[in-house]
Amino acid sequence: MLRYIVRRVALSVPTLLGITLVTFLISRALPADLVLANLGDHAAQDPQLVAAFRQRWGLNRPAPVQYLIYVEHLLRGDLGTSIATERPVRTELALSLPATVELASSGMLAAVVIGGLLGVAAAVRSDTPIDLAVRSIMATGVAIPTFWYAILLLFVFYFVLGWAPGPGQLDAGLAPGPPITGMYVVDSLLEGNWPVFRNALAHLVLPAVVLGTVGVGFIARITRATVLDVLQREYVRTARAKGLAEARVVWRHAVRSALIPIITVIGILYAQLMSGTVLTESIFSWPGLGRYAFSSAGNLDFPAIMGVALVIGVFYVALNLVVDVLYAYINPRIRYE
Amino acid sequence: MVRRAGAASIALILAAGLTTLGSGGGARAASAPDTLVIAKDISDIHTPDVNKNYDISGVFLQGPVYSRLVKQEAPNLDQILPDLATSWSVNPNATGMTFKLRDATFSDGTPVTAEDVRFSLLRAKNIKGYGSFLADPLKDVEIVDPRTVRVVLTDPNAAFLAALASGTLSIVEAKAVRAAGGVETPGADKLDKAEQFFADRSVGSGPYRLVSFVRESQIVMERNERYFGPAPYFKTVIIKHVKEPATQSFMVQRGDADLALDMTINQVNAIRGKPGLQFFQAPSSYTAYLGMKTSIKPWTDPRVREAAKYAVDYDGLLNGVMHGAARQLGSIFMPGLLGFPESLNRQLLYHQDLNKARTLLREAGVGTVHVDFVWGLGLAYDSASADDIAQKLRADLQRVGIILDPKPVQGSILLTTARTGKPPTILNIWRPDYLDPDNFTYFASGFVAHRFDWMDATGKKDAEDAAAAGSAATRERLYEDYNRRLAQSGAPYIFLVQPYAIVPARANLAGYHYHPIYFLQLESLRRK
Repeated sequence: MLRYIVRRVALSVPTLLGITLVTFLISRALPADLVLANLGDHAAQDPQLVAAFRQRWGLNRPAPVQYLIYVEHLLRGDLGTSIATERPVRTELALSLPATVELASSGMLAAVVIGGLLGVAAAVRSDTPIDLAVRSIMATGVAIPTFWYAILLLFVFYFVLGWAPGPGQLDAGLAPGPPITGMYVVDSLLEGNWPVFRNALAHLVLPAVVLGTVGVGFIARITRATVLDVLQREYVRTARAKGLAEARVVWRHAVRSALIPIITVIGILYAQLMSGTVLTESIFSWPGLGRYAFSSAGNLDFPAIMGVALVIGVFYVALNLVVDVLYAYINPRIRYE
Repeated sequence: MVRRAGAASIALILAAGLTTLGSGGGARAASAPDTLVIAKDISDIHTPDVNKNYDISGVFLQGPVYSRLVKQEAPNLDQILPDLATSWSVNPNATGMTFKLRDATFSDGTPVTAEDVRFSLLRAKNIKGYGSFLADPLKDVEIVDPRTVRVVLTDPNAAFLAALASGTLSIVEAKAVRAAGGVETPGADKLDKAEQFFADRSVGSGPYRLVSFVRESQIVMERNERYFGPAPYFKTVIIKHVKEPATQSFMVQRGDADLALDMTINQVNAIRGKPGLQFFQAPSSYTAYLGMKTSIKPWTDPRVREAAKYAVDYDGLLNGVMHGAARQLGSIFMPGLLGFPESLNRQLLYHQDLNKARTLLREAGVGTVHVDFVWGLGLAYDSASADDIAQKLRADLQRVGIILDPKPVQGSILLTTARTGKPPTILNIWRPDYLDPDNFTYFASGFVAHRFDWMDATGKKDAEDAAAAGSAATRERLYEDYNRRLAQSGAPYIFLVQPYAIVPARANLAGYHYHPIYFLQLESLRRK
């Protein structure tokens, strides 16, 4: 297994390089002028400033050379410098990433727990009112427009009922402690900063519910389908015939066998959430990767755009690997050579 | 039965937990009487460095926290007032200004001296940030004595006095910034290392001092007890980043924010009459226009350009689209600036005359014609929605046979698109960097005019002479003529509206004064 993991990690390198190449080519193909976008009206009229800008950002070199220089820096862990902020892209990503990890993980946790339970309930009680209700929830979760749903939740739970706090990660004026992971909930828990912990957790609930609802729809659907299929198998009938309790039949035999496709979907969903969700982050003023990617694209901040693409690529590669490794643990008959 | 009870219990627990977390998660800052919370989208701030910052929202890191040599305040925004300088003199050919500094200190108690002024202005110029062009006219800054500083310009420039009120030319504490790696000499763009120093501290002498700045989260400021002017009412000011105007609306209605700065007129009208709110209104610094590229048909013919000016339903735009929250413009200037009194604005206004428009088009031999039309999707210019104005213009011009084919671009790249000079027709705005007529003079011969392949030699000369003129009366006369040149029938601009800034606020606020550059004067706000 270890050899398999090492080989997969090694094979991911060309994949990630390919991502940077595609992003680079697309960025350079855009009909937009980086100089005009960043220098401003007055500075863009000055040939000296334009030349200095182009030299500063390597734009005076041929495109292949620019890419090779980028890769060379990348191999040293340098993701370049943001044109918009003139700070290392790595630093900028380090600010956005924890917020996304926190939000995506919370949403995913809720989606897995709730979606899994609902899916199993629907499969066990198929063609009953419970199944109908769950299928309605599934359809809603998959179809609901995220932007509208986020505003609706904010309107109902924050504005009307006052049950949830407003947008952002913390209340106005409340400051987090020194960063450990950068995730406010985790850091405040580790520091024992309970006012910040409670406040950060409260702010996390609504955006996590938005993301979780979408996830619930997908996870409940795949869970229902696979558990329903497994419940028809002979070994399940055998388990029942042997007199095992229904709960044991469902959870130890049926669900366990159905886990592989469910975990596949969870992995894909998690990677999607970790890519950042611009709409949810906009409504809740959540400073995550989605917002960063969106504003970088608007600023034609190519180093930042490439950094984001690379990070997202790493997520997908890593999560796919985790899913594949989990297959082997769930089903011991799966062996990787 | 058991399962139903279990499900109900879970739901109850979740609701109770949400309530507990939501209500007990933290004090509502806006309810603290000496704390002011402003909801604003501040995601455009790229740097906390006051001498580099040129972002629209970046003024919150400059205006309240730092002082400048001079300032401009409501209601007479065109007047230059003392700030750190108590008095000044301008030499007859407007190539030099000498300032006497007041007895002031920075927030850490260090006295403000001429060296701080010299360092700050030269750093702003040499650091080559996006706002450094404002310091382009600077040749040198000389220390006459610790309280007297002379600003030397490369060329005559009467407008530079107003430019000194802009945020990029804020005065910082030289010693502290140098200690953090700040450099003011040529080459500062490569040598200066002080940028991040400004993120969580301020070295200014303004009414507030910076406590923290977290990008895309919030700016927190506290009253500077060493400020040389009247102490502001609010001890703490928080600018909370809130991206969506709808969310800002929720917050100001609930009292979690005292002011919401990004709402459009339709959003504002939806909450008029709600309890606990009042609405402040003032002309904004945006002046909106439609630009027509004279090298692309049908705009090559000045009669067609004039016809378009008569086709626009200005009353409908003002009263229908803008709901009265704007005034019509006869030129690009903000009415009230030197050289553009309201009386001249009224003289230069166009009014809809469809018959005249059609006659001009017939004379030009133009029937139904299509031309691409660019605007920024989703952009808001204070209370004005670019989408709404664009659709109105399309409908109006279509009535005379000029079909504006929609080619909107994503709002954040409108400026880049405009700068290419490629759009045949574009809805755009002008927002000044400082409140002097000189900052509006790019439309007869500068880079704006260049985008539309148009130049007016008389207007160009008016602008150049006015910039060098030491006499206010001379400048006024020249700028008045400049505005007339822009309003002539063949000019490639249809001047539209100056939207009002309409700011919903909590009813217990008083002392609101809008500022076209700094949004509002924080130091004058108070609770009733």
